[in-house]
Amino acid sequence: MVKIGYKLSSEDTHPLNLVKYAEMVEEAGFSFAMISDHYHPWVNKQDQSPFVWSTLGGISQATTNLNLGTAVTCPTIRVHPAIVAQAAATTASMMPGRFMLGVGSGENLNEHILGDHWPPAPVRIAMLEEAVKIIRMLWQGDIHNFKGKYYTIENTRIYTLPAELPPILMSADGEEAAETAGRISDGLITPGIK
Amino acid sequence: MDYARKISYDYWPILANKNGLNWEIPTPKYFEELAKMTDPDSLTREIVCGNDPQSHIDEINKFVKAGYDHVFIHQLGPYQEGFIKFYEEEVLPEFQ
Repeated sequence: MVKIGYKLSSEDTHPLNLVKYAEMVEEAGFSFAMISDHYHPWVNKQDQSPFVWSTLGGISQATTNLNLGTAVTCPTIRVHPAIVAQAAATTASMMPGRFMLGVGSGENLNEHILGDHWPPAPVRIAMLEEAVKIIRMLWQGDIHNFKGKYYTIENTRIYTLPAELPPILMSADGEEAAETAGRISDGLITPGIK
Repeated sequence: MDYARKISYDYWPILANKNGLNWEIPTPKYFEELAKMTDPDSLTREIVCGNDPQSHIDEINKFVKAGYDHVFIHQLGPYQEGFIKFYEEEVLPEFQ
């Protein structure tokens, strides 16, 4: 039977309400929830954008069975993949077996804030592929060094790792991203817009 | 229904944008300018709107038929608690 989930919308919801809604949907019988990660809302009317990893810490302690994923976080420009790898490992350690890392190639709305160049879509997808490689590498434990086309890590080790690693899901809105998702991720997230 | 259309447009006008535009626009202000070029009708065509449980069940079943094993629903706007209760009572039992 299909599993029905609920979207926790960070762009227009205060973090305490995100935690409250997560508790409510667990109680109501939804089997999972997916939370967005934004630095800015899309329009000012929405008027929120809490830091997703703090919200996830709150939800992890307010729920007991609800599966929860990011839909999606972007580990490429605004946040380095080594940091996302640590954030996700910490979150998964706080909700064992219940966390999913959903990643995507990002939006200019959120990724431009540090003055970085916003590359065209094929480059964004290539950056995401290298980012996922780094995340999986660091999740193995031990010390890693890597110099890729986009990212470098030096003498890097994540100490707090969950017993069970979370699946990595990738969002795709086009053919090229879907092909990459099929190759590098454990599941595909697609928009349901008609 | 009219109120649902208004709320959807006020909070999520970006759902009417096509062709990857949403990934390229840098600021909320520009998204608001873009929203002026669309309208509640255009947006409503893109979403399930209203409180008829069957329309929600039918939309979910399109994805089930296509082979999706997980479907998550985004309720647009501030009325989340009513949505959660509506799904608990009218929609989720169909899929349990």
